[in-house]
Amino acid sequence: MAGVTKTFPGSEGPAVAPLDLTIPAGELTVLIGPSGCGKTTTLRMINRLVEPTAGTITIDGTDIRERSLTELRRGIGYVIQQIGLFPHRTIAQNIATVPKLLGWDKRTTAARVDELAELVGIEREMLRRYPSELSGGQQQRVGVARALAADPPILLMDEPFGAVDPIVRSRLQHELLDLQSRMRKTIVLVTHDIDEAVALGDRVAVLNVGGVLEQVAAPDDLLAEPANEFVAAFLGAERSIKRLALSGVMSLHLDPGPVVDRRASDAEARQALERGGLDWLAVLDGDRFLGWVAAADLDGRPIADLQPEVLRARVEPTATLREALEVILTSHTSTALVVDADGTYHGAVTLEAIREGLAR
Amino acid sequence: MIGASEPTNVWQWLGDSSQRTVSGSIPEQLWATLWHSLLAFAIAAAIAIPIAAWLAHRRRAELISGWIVNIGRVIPTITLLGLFVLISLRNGYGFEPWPIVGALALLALPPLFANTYTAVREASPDAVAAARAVGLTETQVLTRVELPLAAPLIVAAGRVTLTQVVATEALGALFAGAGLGIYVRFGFASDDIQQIQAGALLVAGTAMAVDAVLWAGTRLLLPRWGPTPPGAGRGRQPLDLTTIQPQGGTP
Amino acid sequence: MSDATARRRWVAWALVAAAAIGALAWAVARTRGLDEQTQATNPIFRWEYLLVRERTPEELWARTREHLELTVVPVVLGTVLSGVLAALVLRFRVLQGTVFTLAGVLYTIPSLALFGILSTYVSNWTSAVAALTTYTLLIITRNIVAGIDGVSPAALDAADGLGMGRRQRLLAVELPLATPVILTGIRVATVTTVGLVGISKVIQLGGLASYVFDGFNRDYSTLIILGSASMVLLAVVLDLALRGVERLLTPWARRAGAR
Repeated sequence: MAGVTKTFPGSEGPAVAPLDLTIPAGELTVLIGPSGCGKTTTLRMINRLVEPTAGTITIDGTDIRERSLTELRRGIGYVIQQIGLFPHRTIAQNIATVPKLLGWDKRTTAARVDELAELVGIEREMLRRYPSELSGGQQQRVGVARALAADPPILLMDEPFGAVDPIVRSRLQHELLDLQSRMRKTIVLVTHDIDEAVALGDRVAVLNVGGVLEQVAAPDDLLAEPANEFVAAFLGAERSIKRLALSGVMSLHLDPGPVVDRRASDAEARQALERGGLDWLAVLDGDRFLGWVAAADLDGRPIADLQPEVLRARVEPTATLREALEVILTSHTSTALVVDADGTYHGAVTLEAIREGLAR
Repeated sequence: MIGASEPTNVWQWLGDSSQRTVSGSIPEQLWATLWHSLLAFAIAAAIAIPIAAWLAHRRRAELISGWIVNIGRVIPTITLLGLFVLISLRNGYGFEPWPIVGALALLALPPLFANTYTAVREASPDAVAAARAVGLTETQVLTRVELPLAAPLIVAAGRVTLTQVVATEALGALFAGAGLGIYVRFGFASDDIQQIQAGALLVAGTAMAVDAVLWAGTRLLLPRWGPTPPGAGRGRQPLDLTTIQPQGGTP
Repeated sequence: MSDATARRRWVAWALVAAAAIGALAWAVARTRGLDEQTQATNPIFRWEYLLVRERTPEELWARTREHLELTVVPVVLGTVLSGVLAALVLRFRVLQGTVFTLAGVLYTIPSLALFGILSTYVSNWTSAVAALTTYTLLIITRNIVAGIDGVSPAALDAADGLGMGRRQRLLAVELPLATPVILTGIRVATVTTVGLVGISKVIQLGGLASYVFDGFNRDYSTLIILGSASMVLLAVVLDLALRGVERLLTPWARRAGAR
């Protein structure tokens, strides 16, 4: 799949202004903007629930108008905020909607339903129930399963987590990311929640009222360099804080940190202490992290004779800057060491390093 | 018929008063129809509206209020008329007018009750809450807020119910009562097609005329928030016509 | 709330059933004591008419059949016609006002007048069926339209988005979801028609209402009560039967309750 290109000089008033947008295959693209920005309209034009007034939308280089309406839609998963489960059909029947439309045989359909139930975390016994017997979060999972039933390469999601409470929402968001890491579908997701957009999107497209595309960028770039006042205002005042959640510590230029080898002498340790400007030293054995020693404990003996303390001022290499900052703010060392699970030392994160990282 | 010349169409029959020496004149039967109907309606309204309004205000008897229409629906008017005539005769009150008026009153009860109940219950909860908040007593809430808000629907229900009562009054003639239905009955009894047709026209025409007059009247009386207010707000229920039986129909 | 409502409904039905069984038991007990004396008095209801007179069962059955026929045929015809009218309204929304107003006008024509006029042109049976059919149109058409309009927009959006065609959407989503409302319309129309059939006595039909009129003409209270009771019973039985059908056809509504 080469990607989706669409251009529509919209003339429905200012519902969606002429819009050019390429949606890369296998990525999750978020459409975001204030009410009336035409984000939902844009989404619904992709499966032709709304016909563009002008312009063309192509998928894999094929104009979507060349395929029959139903064929097109059966090949695109669709999830909406109100979920829209069919109340008169059981969960299994709901999930099997598209396979049935496509004329799959019963056994294949049933197997697929079981597979999807497992994938989205719906218990087997729920399959025979009706939608009204499920909680909102469960219903939304069924909605996603139904959209994925025929394994469409594209998934459209219109505020999929808008109707559930914040706790369930964040769980569903994580589940979606997890699913996406396995499926690599081309997902277009509409939301008005900037945190959701930043958390979920590989790329975020910010739309202004009237369907004016203000900026398309990866979340981090968006937060780092808003293209204009509107985007900046929409992202809110805490852009830097939001960005912290997006970058991993390994993306920083890691400081070697106030480290000293366990074989070092007292004098070498004092030099290292001076260099680091802290009251603490990290003790290494080669590239392995042993623990911390305090400046006050340096009494002239070689480092090897001291007992390094194991403090919590360390983060895994997969940690986000936000987690690193948390460690920095709450530790005595004002530094977060990046140490992976088997004890290999990668470097140190300091406030200064984070600031530099954000300034990039 | 005794008349010198058999009428050949409805209009001749209507124009020839000699045709009605036995059945009674049209104005006479029209008057009977109207006063039977009005009396029955007044009795039903006097019973149904206050009770329904109070019950709806207290949110009591919701199930029963829903069932009243159902119950009314399964008891045919014919049944009521037959039984009332029976009771009336056994107690020496004759064919006229109590059995008819009684049956018509019972016929009018369910739609008046059900629609009043719905109208009051659905009166804007915000307005009711506001009224309580500023210290109106429960009676005042009902009479000064809920009833005025419910009035358009109650009036609409009253209009359609009264029209229905007028139309149903014709059935009284089948049980030896007075009223415009008598021409249809006499027509069938003597295979007089002109009389059947004329009678049918009179019954239908009267019902429609009454409906038109009532419609115009309610328009004038409730100019500001008439039966179907423009931009109907929250809790404004349209009249459920099916709570009311077809004319000359059941309860 | 719905649980309590359902329970109270069952209690109500249990009471009705108990009353019916009680009445029957009392009637059977009464017939044991039939003697010369009761023949001589003028009771308000002579049980021997119902339980002893040889012709009664056959006659009662014939009249019930006529009543049923005059109820079922118009309701079926009315449902078909209403389906057509509703389809027109749903397809061409501009027609909605006109169709409903027309059906409303038909609904308000006095039945005595309608039977009268029609019977001077066509056969009695045809007039009865035609007249009774017209009274079902408003209720059923309106409920079909309301039922389909009442289907949640989200379900429709999902149906479209998943690639259902117009037909598939109508058959697989809209009609099933509108079923309770449509069946309610048919039920109300049926019960209403049971009552209206009686008036067709003026054109020599009348079904069970014939008892009421005969009783009136012969000043025989037994017949009036027999006719009245059997008409009410028929209406109640049909009402219950259609409620049963509705429950069978909408299993999802029965099991709802989580929300």
